[in-house]
Amino acid sequence: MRCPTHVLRLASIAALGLALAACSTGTGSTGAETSSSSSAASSASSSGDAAPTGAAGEPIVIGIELPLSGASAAPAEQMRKGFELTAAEINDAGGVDGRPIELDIQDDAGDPTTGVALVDRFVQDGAVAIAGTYNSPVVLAQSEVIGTAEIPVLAFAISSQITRQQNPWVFQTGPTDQGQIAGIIERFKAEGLTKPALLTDTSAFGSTAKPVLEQALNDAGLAPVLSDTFAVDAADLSAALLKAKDSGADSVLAWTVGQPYATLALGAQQVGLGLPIIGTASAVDPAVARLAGDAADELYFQDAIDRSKPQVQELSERWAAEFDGGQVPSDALSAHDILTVITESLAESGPDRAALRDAMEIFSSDEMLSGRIGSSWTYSADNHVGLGGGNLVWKKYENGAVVTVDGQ
Amino acid sequence: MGQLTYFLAIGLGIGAVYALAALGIVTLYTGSGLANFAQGDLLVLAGLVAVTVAGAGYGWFLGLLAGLLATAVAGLVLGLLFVRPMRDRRLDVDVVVIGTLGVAITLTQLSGVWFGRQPQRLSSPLAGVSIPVGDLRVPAHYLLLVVVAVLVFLALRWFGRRTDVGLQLRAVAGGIQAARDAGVRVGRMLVIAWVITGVVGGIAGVLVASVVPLAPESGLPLGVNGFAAAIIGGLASPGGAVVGGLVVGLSESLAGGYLNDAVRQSIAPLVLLIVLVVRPGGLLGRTATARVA
Repeated sequence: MRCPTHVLRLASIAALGLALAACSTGTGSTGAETSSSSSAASSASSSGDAAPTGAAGEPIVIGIELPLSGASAAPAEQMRKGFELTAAEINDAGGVDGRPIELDIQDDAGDPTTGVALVDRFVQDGAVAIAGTYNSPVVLAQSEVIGTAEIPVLAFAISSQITRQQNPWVFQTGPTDQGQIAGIIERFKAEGLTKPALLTDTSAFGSTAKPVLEQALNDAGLAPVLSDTFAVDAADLSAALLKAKDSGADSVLAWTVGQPYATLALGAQQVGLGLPIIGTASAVDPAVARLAGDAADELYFQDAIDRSKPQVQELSERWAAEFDGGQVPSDALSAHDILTVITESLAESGPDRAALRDAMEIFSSDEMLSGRIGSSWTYSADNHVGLGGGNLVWKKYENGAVVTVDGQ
Repeated sequence: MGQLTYFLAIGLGIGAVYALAALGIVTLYTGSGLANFAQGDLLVLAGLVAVTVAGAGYGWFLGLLAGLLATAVAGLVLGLLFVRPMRDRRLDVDVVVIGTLGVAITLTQLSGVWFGRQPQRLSSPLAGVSIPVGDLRVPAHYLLLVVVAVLVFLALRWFGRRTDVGLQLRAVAGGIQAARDAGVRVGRMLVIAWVITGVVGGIAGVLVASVVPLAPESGLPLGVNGFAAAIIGGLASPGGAVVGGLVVGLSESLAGGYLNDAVRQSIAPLVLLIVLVVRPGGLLGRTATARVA
């Protein structure tokens, strides 16, 4: 019906289409402002007039950078809600020294180039700090421009490569990947597991962690009997799990973000894996239980959140009231902590970037939502990671629900 | 042997996903000469509508009907949107093709607003049922995907060859002016082609939603794999779409099982490249040759 040249032309158009789609994600997202799209946000922006104790005066702008489109859009959306809820709470309580805070929420789509451009935009918009940055490659790419602009950044990204850059303007929530790995190695040893199969995803998240994981496991005498990779958007991951099963492994360490854990759990059921799957903190993503159901029951992970903490339960109630019930996601609680660090430091320093950076560097609190009971966030000139390894809570899925293990 | 059988079964299931995506693309191409870059997003739309309806307690079957209705309406709207430039000026085909890319981006954004960005999976009517292959288990839904892909192919083949409307659609795809001269109502046929594409996309989307967790961004990879399958099989051949999908699915499954995931991810473009070089019209497509002096 059509000549081959037309087929080739269509193939070319397909390639062009892909390129255009990729471009549209990056450039379009730069301008995506979302700070007024929820009722929590409305409350945040109007609280100065609405609440008797509310803040007044010129707002203090805080840049919020999240991958609201792309592969990490779902957890990023939870963080966005967490930021907006927290901002509303802070403004209702009088803001920072009587001034309301205003969130300038931008989408970096997980794209380093967009992330670099956003730093300039936040600076020009008068933001005193940038918070939330989710993807490690984005933070690594931004490092130079952050240093030049001299604006403090509190990133959610966990790569220890960020820590090693020792940028005086960059802080991390923590634990870093090495902090998480330390907890995992500790658990392997406690459970007598000596032959892990390592599966890392092929995204930047998994690729950057793979050599770090291999090195740490080797150093601990737990050399992986298999080290393989998988794609986060694969429909079926049973082949990789079958290799793990055939490798003689006694456990699977899977390094990815969010819903691929559901695909892994379903694949494990298909091949009768019968081994524990150890995941990252993001295995707590509610999508995992929803997509995998009971198949997720062999999935273990460390979560930053101890839900027995009174302050966590208090925020959970506010979340349920604001967002029609449901358990507050861990990512939203992390967003609360991030904004708490910045606003409490702002209260000490005032809205000056350099002074804020100095105040963040001496921030310390044992009242944060993240971490076990009794753990503390402590920054210093030598340590820009808030929560150290070993402060997380081991959890697993049981009948499709997250439960704490080992009586923690 | 058990593992080989397992990988073949998984490959057929995954291949059926690609085949269903490709069938929608081929349907529009054979009915209008258009390549639709929004096909993956139509699948996602149907899947997410079905998840929403089923999640509200109305069950899988009503979810399927709602998904089909949504994409049929979307197809109708797109048909009406694109029919004018297509009907009036044949040279605007490429512009319309690029226009479908805009539709894809718009649908992705709208799906995010309507359904949220969380990946969602539709519980299969065959949930919990699996076919034992040695000590391994293949979800029965994969078999359902293969059966439906074949049924959709047979239905499209019958429609295209045995019905008056089907023949008129093929005439339009062959050339708008010639079809018009033969008395075909081109505008109406173009709209019908879009609606059928929507329905095929709807069937595919609802079934795929039980295998692939769907998020608004899932449309792009589904569409790309569908295009790869369609071009491998032959862009103007519904049978080629099925063959292309199964070839890609089997290649991926065997590469992932016996080699590694990096090879698995590269296999579809590799097969596509080989087919374009060796047989540019696709495995089941017509190949025209010309001698270059």
